[in-house]
Parts: sequence; C-alpha cells; structure tokens
Amino acid sequence: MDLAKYGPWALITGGSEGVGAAFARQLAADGFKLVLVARKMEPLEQLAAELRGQGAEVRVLSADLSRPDVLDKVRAVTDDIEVGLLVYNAGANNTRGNFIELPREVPDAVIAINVLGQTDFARHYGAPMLARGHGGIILTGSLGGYMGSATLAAYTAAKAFSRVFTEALWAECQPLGVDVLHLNIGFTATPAMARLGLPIEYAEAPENVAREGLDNIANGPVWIVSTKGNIEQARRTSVVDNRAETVRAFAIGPREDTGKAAVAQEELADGS
Amino acid sequence: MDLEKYGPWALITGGSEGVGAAFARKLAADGFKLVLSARKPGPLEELAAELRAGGTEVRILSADLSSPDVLDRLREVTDDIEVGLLIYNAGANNTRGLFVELPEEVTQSVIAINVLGQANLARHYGAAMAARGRGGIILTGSLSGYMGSPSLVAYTASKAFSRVFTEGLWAEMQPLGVDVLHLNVGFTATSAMARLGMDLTHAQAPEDVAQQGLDNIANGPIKIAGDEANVERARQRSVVDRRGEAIRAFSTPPREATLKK
Repeated sequence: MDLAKYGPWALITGGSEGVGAAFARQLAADGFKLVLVARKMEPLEQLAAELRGQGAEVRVLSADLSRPDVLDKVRAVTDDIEVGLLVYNAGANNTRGNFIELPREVPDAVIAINVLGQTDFARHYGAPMLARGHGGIILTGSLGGYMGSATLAAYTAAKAFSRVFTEALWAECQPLGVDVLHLNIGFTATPAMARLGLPIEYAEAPENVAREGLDNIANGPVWIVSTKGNIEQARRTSVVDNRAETVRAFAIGPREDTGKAAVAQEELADGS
Repeated sequence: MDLEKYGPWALITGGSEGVGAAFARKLAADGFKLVLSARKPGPLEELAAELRAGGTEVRILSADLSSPDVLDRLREVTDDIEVGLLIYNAGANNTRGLFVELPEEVTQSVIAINVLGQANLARHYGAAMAARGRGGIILTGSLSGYMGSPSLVAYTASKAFSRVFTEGLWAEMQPLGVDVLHLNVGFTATSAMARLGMDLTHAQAPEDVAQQGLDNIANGPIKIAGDEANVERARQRSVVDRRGEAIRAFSTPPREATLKK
C-alpha cells in the first residue's frame, strides 16, 4: 500500500478483530500509523500491543459506532494527525426478526452504523483528503445489500445504501485524486461469525478480504471479494425482472442454513 | 381499489400535489377516507376542500417529514382511526452538490425522509395492519436508487435503501396478508419538477404513476412505473460487472441536461 498516497495515518473502525484487524496488520507492515476504533477495549489493546511490538505507532479508541457522538470521540484522537486512509468497516448484524416486531433499537443501531455513521465519517475524513488531492476511503459492505431479505430488512437496506453511497462518492472523488471503494464481502471467517455459531470452515479468511481491498483501492467503485460464487450471487440478486421470484429464491436464508448456502454458492460458480 | 382490504382510511404523505395528490383523488373516488400530510398547508387545504366537496372525509396535517417528531404528530391525527393503506410518498431532491461540500443539513434531511421516516412509519402502521391480517403499504422510490450518481450521493443511496428495505418488508409481510410495494418512479411531471425548471415533455403524468401503483399493490415487491424504457433504465443501472463504466454511462445526468431549453 502506497504510504505517500494514502498515509501517513490510517483510521480503521471495527479495527480490533476480523477484517479490521487484518487491515491493521497489513497496513502496519507497509509503514502506516494506525488509529483503531472498536467497541471492546481488550482486543483493541491486544492488537495495539502486537503492532507496537513491530514498531507501528498506534492509537486506540473504544467507541460504539451506533452512537450519535462517535465522530466527535474519534475526532478527539485524530484532529492533530493526517488521516490519509479511512477504512470504515462495521456492521455485522446479530439480531434477526420481522421488522415490525424487532425492538426499534435493533434496526436503529443498524441504520446508525451503516447509514448515518458511514455518511458522517466519509464527509469528515473525505473533505481534507480532497483538499490534499490524495487519499483513500474503503467502506465495507455485504453481498446481502443487493436484495432485501426477510428478517434482515434494515440490514440489507442499509448495506444497499452503503453500496450506492460509495458509488456516488467514488464518481465525485475520483477526478479529485481520492480513491473510494465499496469492498463487498461475502461469508467471512470472522470472530463475529464464529460467535454466531456459523460454520466458518466454509468462509473466506479475513486476511484475504483485507488484501483484496487494499490491492483494489483504485479499482472502485465496487470490489466484490473473489470468494467462489460471490460474483454470481451478486449478479443473480441484482436482476431487475421477476423480482418476487428472485427474493424468494435467493434471499439470505435462516442462520442454520449458512453452511448449506456456502456450498450452494460454490456450486453456482462451478455451474453445477 | 378494494376498500374492504385496504380501507377504511388511507394515509398519504407528500399528499398535497403531484403523485400524492393523484393517489388521493383516486382513492377518494373509491370511497376511502383520507389523511393527507405535506409540508405546505395551502395546497393541502385546497385539495382537502376539493375532495370534501366530493363527499370524502379528509384530515390534513402540515408536517415536515424530515423532522424527528413527524410520526408523533401523525399519530395525533391517526390514533383513533384504522389506517389500512399507507402511501409513503416523498423525497424529491432539490439540492445538488459534492457530498463533502454540501451543508450537512441537506444530506441529513434526505436521509431523515427516505431512511428514518420511511422505516418509522412502515413499522408503526405496518404492525397494526399485520395484526389485522390485511392492508397495504406503498413506498415510492426512484430509478435513481439503482446506482450512485455524482452530486446526488445521499439521494441515490437513500433510494437504494428504500427499495431493498421494501423487498425485505414485502417478504416478511406477504405471508401475514399485508401487501407491500416499492413503486419505482422515473421522470414524472410533478409540480416539484416544474419548479426546478425541468422540461416535462417526456415525463410521465402523476395520475398514471398513481394508477400503476394502486393496480399493482399486490404485485410486489417492486413495480417500475412507466413503460419498458424505464425498466430498461433500471436494468442498465443494475449490472454488477464493470460498475465504473456503467456509472459513467448511465448515472442520473446533471440538472442542466434536463432543464427546459
């Protein structure tokens, strides 16, 4: 990763584990200084200690991305430094249910993180990048954002927001020297997924996801992680025609079917 | 429109002019009672007077959909009635510009209307419909929501939210007897568009858009209003591959390109 273009500091939200931690390790190896934000302090401190042990300068902040004051808190640790790379990585959805029955706080948090937070962070850190004429923004998204799924109405919608938001931002920022990428992620072997009891032996390694994001930062607006079957899934869930059949056939299934779905997606890529 | 299934009251936001007013007139003709909400009281009162003269019971509320208390205010005029049809129709985008340069208030208001307001109203009125086992929700969207467009970052993104949200809600509500439809609207000859100085020669009449919405309420999750050309526009904007080229070729053009010559 080009330190002169995207450095000296990278800010990574959701930066204590999974894909965020993989970004942090790869950027530290390339000489970036890091600001890591996540909810839980302990994994943050552990990762920071590991990276500092290798010579990286690291700042950490425990903050909840669903809170309205989160940008102010993050600004308190970034206002005196030059953030040339923003990796806004967040938003695994842990609570499913029919939208009208879920406690309001659940979809509100999903929207706060994936719609409001992303918007605020992109504005705040994107503006100085444009003024400098260089920098990069990676917003992670999900294959789930191509189509609405029952029990995940707000989540899938928020991920659609994120993707289209990134596309438009890309179109505005690219001529001004700032790269913007929506890194669209399929089933990934993160601790969040493992905690949900999902069969992560079928899942993509977070290191590969982060590597593809960094390698393709200039190939926006959207990069779909190359896990077998991901691109086919995106294509078949984005068709305009026969939408009802499509939603019935290809929506995100119940959590207990995740392994089956992963296998089916691989078969889709094989054309079997 | 089936009054038994979707009545007796219909709530229409953005219900003073354009597509909203067209919905109101059609539903009144079918015997629905109406709650109309819009920002400006003048056009609301005029439309209400017209419909009342035709024998329709009408309640009106002047309210800004981008304000966080809008649902509370709407509830004050709907808590004592049975709203069997919600038409959430709103969100023309009047202010364009680079996202990082636009005042925060502009994008926040777009998100408040198309993301937060839509979700809150769908929850409140949808839950009551699901309990009754009947009803309908029409959320109007835009062809612009299939793809990000420069100078319309928050608008195109929030219309994408609206579309995918409706799909998820449709999948959840259909088995419960409640119809949910995302009425995807193209270039329509509304007063909002006329005020922006657009050339409306090739725009669809609001009456046609509303009729297509009502006719297709049970054919969700999405109805693209207009003709085959609009469906083709949606297809062009939905391709997954070579997304950058697609955006350069097919994103919503700058306003200058659509202004009256």
